[in-house]
Amino acid sequence: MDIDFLLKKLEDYKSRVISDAILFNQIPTPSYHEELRSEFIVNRLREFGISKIDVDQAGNVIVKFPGDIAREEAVLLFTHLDNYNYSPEQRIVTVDTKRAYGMGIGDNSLGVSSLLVLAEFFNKYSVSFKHNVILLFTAGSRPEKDFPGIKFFLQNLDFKITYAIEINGVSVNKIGHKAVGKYQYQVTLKTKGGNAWKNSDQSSAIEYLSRLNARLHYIGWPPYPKTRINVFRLYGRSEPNTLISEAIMDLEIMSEDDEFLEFAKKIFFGTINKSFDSLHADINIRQISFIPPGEIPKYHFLVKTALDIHEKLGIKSELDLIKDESSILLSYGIPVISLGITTGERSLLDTEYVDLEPINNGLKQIFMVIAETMKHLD
Amino acid sequence: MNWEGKMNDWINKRTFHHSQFEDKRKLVELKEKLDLKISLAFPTLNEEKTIGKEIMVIKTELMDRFPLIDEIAVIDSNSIDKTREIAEEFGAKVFLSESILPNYGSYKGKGENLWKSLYVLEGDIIVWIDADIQNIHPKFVYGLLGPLLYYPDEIKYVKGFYERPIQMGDGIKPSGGGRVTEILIRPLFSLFYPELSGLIQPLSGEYAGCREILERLPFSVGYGVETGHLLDILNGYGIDVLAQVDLDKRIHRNQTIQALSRMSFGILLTFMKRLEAHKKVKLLTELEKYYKSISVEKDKHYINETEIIFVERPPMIEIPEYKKKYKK
Repeated sequence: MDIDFLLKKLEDYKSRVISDAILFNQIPTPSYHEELRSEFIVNRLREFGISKIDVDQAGNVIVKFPGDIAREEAVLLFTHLDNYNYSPEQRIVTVDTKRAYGMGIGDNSLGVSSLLVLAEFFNKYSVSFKHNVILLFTAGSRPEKDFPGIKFFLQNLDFKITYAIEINGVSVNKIGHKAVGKYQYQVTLKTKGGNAWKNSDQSSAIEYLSRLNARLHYIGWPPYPKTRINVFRLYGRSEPNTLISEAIMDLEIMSEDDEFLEFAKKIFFGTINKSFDSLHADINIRQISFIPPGEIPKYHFLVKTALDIHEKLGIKSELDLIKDESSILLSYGIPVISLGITTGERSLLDTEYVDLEPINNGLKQIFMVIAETMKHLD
Repeated sequence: MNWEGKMNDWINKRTFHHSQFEDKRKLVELKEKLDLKISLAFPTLNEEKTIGKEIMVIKTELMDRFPLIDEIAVIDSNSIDKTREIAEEFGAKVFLSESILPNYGSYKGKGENLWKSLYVLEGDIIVWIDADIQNIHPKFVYGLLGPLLYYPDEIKYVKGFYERPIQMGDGIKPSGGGRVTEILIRPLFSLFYPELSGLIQPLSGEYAGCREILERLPFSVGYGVETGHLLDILNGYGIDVLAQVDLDKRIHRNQTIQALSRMSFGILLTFMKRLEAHKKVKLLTELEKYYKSISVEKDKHYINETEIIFVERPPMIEIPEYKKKYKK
């Protein structure tokens, strides 16, 4: 395999990555109904001349590129295909000569299009590595249902994953290798409710949960090992002059250390008990997901190779956290790093953007990391 | 067969969906077999927000990946924004409309740009796409080309139609956008050209045609270009050379009712001239060239006059420079 020739050819594929990201971003599909997005990926792969494509029960799209050595092992390249809270006017992408803008373009339309274009490239130039390479586009990557896509994939494997690389739209200058441990909970509080004016001595369910939020916030969480609680949603029915009788709080307990994670969990439950013991209210705490903390060390060949290649390509990078799906792989004992394709801002708003110029290096980096890390395998 | 039967028959035969032509490899094969060149042109005036994306997506998909299109061009009416610069950066050939055939002068208008594009484009088939499509997709191009490549002996001109959500302020409304068609064009077609009543969106800005026909059509320089084409093609070649393709959804800027009213005036000018030329009516008076609108200022109403010039470019085949260039 002439790596230099292939890297040169890969430069021609930058506009394909951008164009496919634009088209993919325009597909109207909310989380857990990603059929149109899967269909786009499958149709594209077929158009590239790839015929053996699997779509599993969870909606994951899987393509295998056989390696030179026949083994029941594979290197996994993966990215998530879903997006959150679709609305048509937010999915339109605008482009100028430097950037592409639009909600979802960085997270994760560019990740999907990059993996697609790599599939096109591998197929066009009959690229084969020493080991099998599996390309996986995961569906259902949201925590609310405990990451059904990646978990289904991992629970139904009929081969061993040697290591994995997650591809993210942004950021090319970050190499993810470390998972924050995380419990995600949904707290539902039901109170008596009633007229707000007539029952001025009482509080609404939203007010009670707001107080709980404040208490959790002011607990002195340790900076090392870093631990904290993040309330990311607090909501209830909205009606003026009414004591809202039911409210919901979504939160995550996070720590880079498993003992501190468990300790923080105890504090969380203790705080809830203290807050609501005297209150005659119906409180329900549901665990939504759990991801244990973990990391592959800085001296692991995956991290070292990625750092070396970034240096060769002139990418000034730093080590960073991995996202939830990679953390799940780690919890299954699979070494994983995450790599980005370009720089930009992943805001989940209309202001989200990706820079176009670094995409060439982003693609090259993925290809080089696969080729180089394969050398470490038997 | 009565009119209704004939038109339903035409709709059944000549109405397609873009998905029927999504096999791009097959389209490329047909194009090569027919030994055709295909050109795509965007008429532009201050379209910097959308033009880059349109060129990038179409070029990547239909030139680089599947070589269906041979050239992409922008014919620009002196945009004061970065339209030309962006178009060039993304790989389109960029022409200033007034620089094409300069001896013939220059007018402002989409029809003028389309007419001049015939001189600079090299294709046997020409696709024209408006430059303000926000949800650009290759289907807008291959959908229009499909009927021309699958039925080359029968179909010579293809119009796009779509579900038209329109941009209203910050949001998108799910329907609307075909107001001039429903209020003006459909009644006129019903009265004078019932053969055309099967066209779902006769004014759509996306269409493709064979040069052999396009070069023989006069072009209204302004709003009436689409209507003029349809009436002249019907008159000269019959309804069966026309086809229409469902392009699903097109998100674009919405025009004010005042702008649509001005547009209707321009279209009516073209329509009346055609009625007379096709001996359907005899005009006993010169048509007014001033469009009159009403404005209100401090509770007083005023009439405003806007000159809408009716200029029609002759069929390109009659231009000596064109005949020389294309050895006609």
